[in-house]
Amino acid sequence: MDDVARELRLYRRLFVLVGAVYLVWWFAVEAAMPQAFNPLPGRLVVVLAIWGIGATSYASAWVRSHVQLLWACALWLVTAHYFYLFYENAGEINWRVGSFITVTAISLGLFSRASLVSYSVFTVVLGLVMVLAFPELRRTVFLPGLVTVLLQANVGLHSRLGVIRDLAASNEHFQLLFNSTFEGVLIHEEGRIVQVNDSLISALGFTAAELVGRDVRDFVHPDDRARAEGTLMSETASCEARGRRKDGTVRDFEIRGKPLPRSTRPTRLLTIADITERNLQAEALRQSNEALERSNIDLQRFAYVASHDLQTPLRSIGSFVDLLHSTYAEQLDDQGRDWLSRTSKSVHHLRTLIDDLLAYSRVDAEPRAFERVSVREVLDRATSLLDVAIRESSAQITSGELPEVMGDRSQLVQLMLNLVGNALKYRGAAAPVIHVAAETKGDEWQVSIRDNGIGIAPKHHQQVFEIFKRLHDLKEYPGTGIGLAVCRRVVNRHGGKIWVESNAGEGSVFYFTLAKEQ
Amino acid sequence: MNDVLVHGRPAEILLVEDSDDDVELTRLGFKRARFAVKLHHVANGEECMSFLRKEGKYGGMPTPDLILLDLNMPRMDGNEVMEEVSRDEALKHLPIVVLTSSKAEEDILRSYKLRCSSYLVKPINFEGFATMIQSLSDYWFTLVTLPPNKQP
Repeated sequence: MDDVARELRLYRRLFVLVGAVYLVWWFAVEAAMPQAFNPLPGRLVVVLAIWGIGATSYASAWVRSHVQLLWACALWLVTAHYFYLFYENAGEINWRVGSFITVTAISLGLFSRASLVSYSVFTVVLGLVMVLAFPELRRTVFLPGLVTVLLQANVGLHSRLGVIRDLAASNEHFQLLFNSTFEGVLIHEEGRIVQVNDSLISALGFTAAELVGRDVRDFVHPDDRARAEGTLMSETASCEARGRRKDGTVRDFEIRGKPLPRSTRPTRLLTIADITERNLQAEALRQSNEALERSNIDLQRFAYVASHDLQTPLRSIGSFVDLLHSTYAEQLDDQGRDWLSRTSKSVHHLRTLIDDLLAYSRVDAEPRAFERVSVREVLDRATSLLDVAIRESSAQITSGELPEVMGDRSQLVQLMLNLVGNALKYRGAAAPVIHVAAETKGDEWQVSIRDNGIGIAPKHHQQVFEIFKRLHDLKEYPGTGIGLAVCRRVVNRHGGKIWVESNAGEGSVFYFTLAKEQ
Repeated sequence: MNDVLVHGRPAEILLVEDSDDDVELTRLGFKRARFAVKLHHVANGEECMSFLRKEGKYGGMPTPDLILLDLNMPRMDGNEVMEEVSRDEALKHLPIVVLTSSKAEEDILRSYKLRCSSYLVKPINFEGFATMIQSLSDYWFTLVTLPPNKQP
């Protein structure tokens, strides 16, 4: 804005000056050569018109914004009027020359800055030729001089104003950019604020005048000053610090700072972003995570306690049913004994269910530190626990080379027990043939348990890992639908994956992965 | 064979157990095992300590040869009983067998750290229970030499 005002002020001076010079010049000529030029009113009209433009620039916005065009017109008016008087008083030759220069002068007001230079040169040459070719017109030596001076002034003004205008435009761009950034920007010299942008002003609530000249550290919360010192004053770094707004509210800011390359005093650039909302959101997220974790733990504890406490009355029921059976079975009829046996079976099923549920909830409820575990030992332990079932089914269990992994030994035994146990349980007509193998896949081991059992249709491959999901009724294959859910939970806790590849009637291969290093 | 005696008399056993069902099963277990034992019962740790110290209504009660102690009980649990007993010079020699439904490693470890004599998990059916009581009696009343226990 400053530059536009300066430009306007310059033009106003030019209007006054040109009008005054023109008037003084004519009176001087008239004094030197009385009755040489006539008439006087025309001169006054021209001068008053020029001064008028200058004067109306105070009142009219249109005049202010078209001041350059009006300047060209004023030049033209002066020149044209000069030649008009000249022609009236000095005959035909001067008329020709005058009309030529008049046209030139008109053009000057309309042509671009670059062509102005060549036109001024041309005009000077023409003026000299005129003086040399027509000695009787010597007194008109002033003519090209005046025109040249006016033109030079015009050209100079143009180029100077052009520079100013370019500067103004680039400054305007800079200001626009500087003020439109989302972050607050601040420049300070050894702590003293020298420049702030609009975003910073709105972030802090202070005006630019209240910020500039103050020490940047004054705006940081006293408790955070020590922590922010490096970022504010010396390092290329970032930090979080609280700051006080003008209205007294304390907000969280992220400050980034770096030095600006300047030869004089050390100058630094700081960007400042209000991250209060972001921090609040992060805090809310953290709290909801915590609540989720708590409720998860509560749920696990609930499952554990519930299944544990369910065992106590169940043990009583089971025991007294046993006692009834062993002591009074003789005194009951077949119906009574059948009912007792049904009760006994249900108790047994419920007990298995509770045990499995307990195992399931224990996977996460009783976490132990991981240790180096040999999969071979895990398999041996599982098969020894399944000894009876293996002998009864004449199963053949083979294995390839098995690695050592990092894990929870008892959980891995549980995993292997369930998988090998399933392979034995869901056998086909033939004796079970089970092969356990491992291969390396990137930074994981992939363990497989292959059987020749009844297989699983592909549409059930996902479901079988869901808790309580069973594909058979209890009479066909007893079970609780928890075994594979436990497997998945154990593998998940170890950061691995578990899946099955199988088709109905073609045996199954269960795979799980375990990290080589934790 | 109701003739197995401890110090020339039937063994005195204190059962500390809050579940009536388990008390009944234990009683039946001893009956099945055919050992002549005198089974005393208290329902929690506080009563247990009163019994051992012969306080109040337990004034005329004998000092037990063996304590069968449940862990999870209201008011004063098994762990607290073991702590209290081990601090009491007059009681710390008494053998304590923990008899509980908990299989938690934590409970097992803590009980042994409190110097229980052994840790038994209640079997899930009566057959198991009876077998356990049989073995327990065989071990503690025929094999083991119990500390001297003069009854008044």
